[in-house]
Amino acid sequence: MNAVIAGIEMVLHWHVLATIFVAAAFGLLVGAIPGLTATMAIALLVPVTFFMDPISAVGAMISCSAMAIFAGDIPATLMRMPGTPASAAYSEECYAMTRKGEAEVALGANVLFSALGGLFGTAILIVSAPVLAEVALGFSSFEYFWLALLGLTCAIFIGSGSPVKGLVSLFLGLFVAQIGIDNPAGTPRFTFGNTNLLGGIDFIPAMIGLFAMSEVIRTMASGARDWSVRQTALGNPLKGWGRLMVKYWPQQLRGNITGTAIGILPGAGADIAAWVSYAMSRKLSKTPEKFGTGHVEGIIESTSSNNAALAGAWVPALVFGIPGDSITAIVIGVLYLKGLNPGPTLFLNNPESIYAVFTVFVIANLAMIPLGLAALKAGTALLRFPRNILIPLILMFCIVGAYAVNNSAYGVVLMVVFGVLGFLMEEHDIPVAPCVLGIVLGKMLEESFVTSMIKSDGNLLAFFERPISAGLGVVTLLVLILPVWSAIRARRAAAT
Amino acid sequence: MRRLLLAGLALAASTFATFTAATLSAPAAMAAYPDRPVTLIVPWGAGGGTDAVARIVASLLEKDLGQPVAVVNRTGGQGVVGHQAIADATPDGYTIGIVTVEIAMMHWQGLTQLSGASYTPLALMNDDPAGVQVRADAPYKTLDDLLADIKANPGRFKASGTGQGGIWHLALAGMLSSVKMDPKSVPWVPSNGAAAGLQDLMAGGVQVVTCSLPEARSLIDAGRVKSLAIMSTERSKLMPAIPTLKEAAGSPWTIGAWRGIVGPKGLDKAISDKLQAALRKAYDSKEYQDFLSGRGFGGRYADGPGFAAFMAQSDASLGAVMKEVGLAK
Amino acid sequence: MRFSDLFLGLVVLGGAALLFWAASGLPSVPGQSYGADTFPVLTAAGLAACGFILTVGAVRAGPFPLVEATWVREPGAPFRAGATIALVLAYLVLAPLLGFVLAATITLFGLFMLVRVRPVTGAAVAAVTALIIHLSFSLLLRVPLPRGLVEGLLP
Repeated sequence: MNAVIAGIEMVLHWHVLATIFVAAAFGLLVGAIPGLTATMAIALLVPVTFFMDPISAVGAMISCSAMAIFAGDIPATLMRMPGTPASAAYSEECYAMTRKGEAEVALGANVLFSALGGLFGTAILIVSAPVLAEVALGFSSFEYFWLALLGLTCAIFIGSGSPVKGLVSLFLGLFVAQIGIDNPAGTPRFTFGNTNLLGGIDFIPAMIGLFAMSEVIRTMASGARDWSVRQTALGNPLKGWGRLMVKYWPQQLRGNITGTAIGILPGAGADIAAWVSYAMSRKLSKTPEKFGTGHVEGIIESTSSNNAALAGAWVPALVFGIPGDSITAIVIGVLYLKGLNPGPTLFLNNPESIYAVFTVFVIANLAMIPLGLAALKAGTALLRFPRNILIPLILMFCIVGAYAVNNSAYGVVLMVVFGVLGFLMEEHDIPVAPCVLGIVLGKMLEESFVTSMIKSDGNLLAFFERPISAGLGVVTLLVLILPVWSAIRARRAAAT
Repeated sequence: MRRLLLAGLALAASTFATFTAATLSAPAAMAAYPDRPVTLIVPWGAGGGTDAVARIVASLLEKDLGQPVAVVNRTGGQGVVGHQAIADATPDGYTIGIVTVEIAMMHWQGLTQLSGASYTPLALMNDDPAGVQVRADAPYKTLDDLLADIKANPGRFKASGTGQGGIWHLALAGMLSSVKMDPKSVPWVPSNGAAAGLQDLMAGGVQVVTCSLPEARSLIDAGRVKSLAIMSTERSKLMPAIPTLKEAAGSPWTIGAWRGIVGPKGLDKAISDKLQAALRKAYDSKEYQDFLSGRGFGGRYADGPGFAAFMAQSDASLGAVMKEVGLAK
Repeated sequence: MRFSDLFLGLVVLGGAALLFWAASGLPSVPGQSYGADTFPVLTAAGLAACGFILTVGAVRAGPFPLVEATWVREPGAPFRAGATIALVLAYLVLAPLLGFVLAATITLFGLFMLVRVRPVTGAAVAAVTALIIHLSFSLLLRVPLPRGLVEGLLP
């Protein structure tokens, strides 16, 4: 109990609260600009967090990501342009509501149910994370190997489109993770005698390149022209919140549960949660014919879902040290930098830090309601900002961010290389997200495999000898085999 | 096009104006060192022990020198990248760095040409001896019990604590070799630092972790881990109940992770003297001594020439053991 | 601009072969059954499988232009994409010589010109942004950005 109070006290300092607020405003800004993802907002925030105390740093990332995911709904509703991929699933529906003159209902629903979804996910995090932490204390490299493999398996499903191209991206990421000397054998690999390459590929400049710079190149190529969209005046978004909550509580609850569950799964994040929830809402609705015509039901379920997923993703991040999505992948790096190494020892050594993180979650989600309402106005103003000014400025921030990661021009070089790579990949419909997860999880996969083999003297069956390891192994193999099996069955059915 | 050209001219003109202003206003004579911010390079990540030492030293230097001292982490390559960056810096006193015991090991492994001789040594600041840790519920009361069990079951026990060929790996191999046992009778499981190795000890993945006491301290305090000996000539101030290796097993083997401040090679004598005096003052300060005892770190000081001799001696003894146990190239 | 899946598949296959060749030169660790070469070889195998599927799929799907031009047809687009990358590289060259503020101003100004910002506006925004970034990094965040003549005048 003392740890709980100590944790809350760690957050209730004016500088921590101010940091949370400023980061939230930044998240709103980035999330509301189409093409800029919540992941990018966090990546840009990373160099800044180097110079904060741990709780401020983590608080900044939590509030920034929560706001960015919500803020993506604003341009989605106003202009049918998802601000972040997590809003893509229901942007059409929101826009249809705007056309019907119900923009305020749609945006109001986005603010309210995003906040409620985030709070639900937080509750699960608070209740289940300590329990999982106890279990996790028994996790050795055998269990971590299966977790890494499970995370990589899920990563394939992040990208829509061709699964083979998703795999190409994943293997590319795994290769990148192998560069350098930081491997179990301590042998330099693919370094060509270069000292910088000996240090390996830092994933933050690589990610700024893959996500942000590739998008900048694309936008610059098309001349960074302004959009021609007519703005709709906003009414009172508070109208009808009570009515929506009473009428659509089952949808909301379902969205919360689905979102949290998907968020906890490593490799699956808010975007997938939103798609799944939207699909589920339509499938289970009594009036599926209304979907796509400006119907708030599906919006409520999926907007709850993507914010719940955000909190859910923190369960494996904090307890297992493995990323639930690309946002927590970055956050884990920051946790390490701050000495708050994720994993069971964090719960053992720093329980007050964990409670401080929980407190930040609650504050961030409550703050979303007033900030979100204010952002509806600010968001529309930002969309009028000339893009040919905005995009070069974003590129400059990318350069400085990549430089600051390790205080060397090498980071900027990496950013350019991965920027061009990401640009070419997306030109060929190869998703970049699996590549980033490959870079992040690749080291863990190799380390846990090789160290397990040293411990078991090379006996592969050791992966099934410990109970948790065996359970995880069976689940992983099922996830790997089931899609293949159903594909074969579908082909057979088509043949007959 | 004409407008573009005009704007280009305007930009060039303003650039030129700034240049001129800069040249004119810059003081003609060099002011006394230091007259601008100093950078302190750390070859390891923020949040670790080396980073913590560097940050407190930087804040104390800043007070003494009257200029900001910015700590910059240059990580990767098991320390090679950061050590290289310190050696490559301009020797003007505005870039200094913290080097760790790895500088005496890396060149033996063929990872780099760098050694302690590639720098201008300024001060040795800290030295933490290795300890032998096992689970608190392990059936060993003394190090001899453990060694006897290892002897009876070669290859069954696994140890961890750092990467392959790292300082704690060498500590284990050197200890086994010093008591006439095969270093390979306890295979090394590489881990991502001492914390990861200790967690694997808790999870039952490994049976022995050789790392420093401050690193194992939280788990020792939590009653989950116990330490059987430390590889030093004298007992630890932090945990005086733990015997030295000599007392526990009669072996003279000692090894520890040390950290010191250096500049690039060829640092001007006046600057080097000024920094050495400032570092001596920092080491003796109450803040630094409080920091050492608070974190449980071992203090050890030597001035520039003393540090150079210490590094040379450490280099030779580590190299000899690395060759003996097959970790050198 | 995009190349056909056939070309893509062949590139992936080639990459896999290169990786396999590079990995086979890695030493194995004595006493360990799985060494430094294990995962690179597995990765190469995975890439090879993907390249094979892509190639076979493309051959089955029938003829397809080797290079499909999409946005490349838009006038100036390839130039702007290339110039954007070139300007970042220019920053990398200029920053150690001129310091952050001047290098960033020049790069930003170039980027603005690419997308037809009015030159006066562009120059002003570029210089002010570079100054703001430098000041916030050196004063608030204490990250030393590359120093040049301008930085010596600033706090």
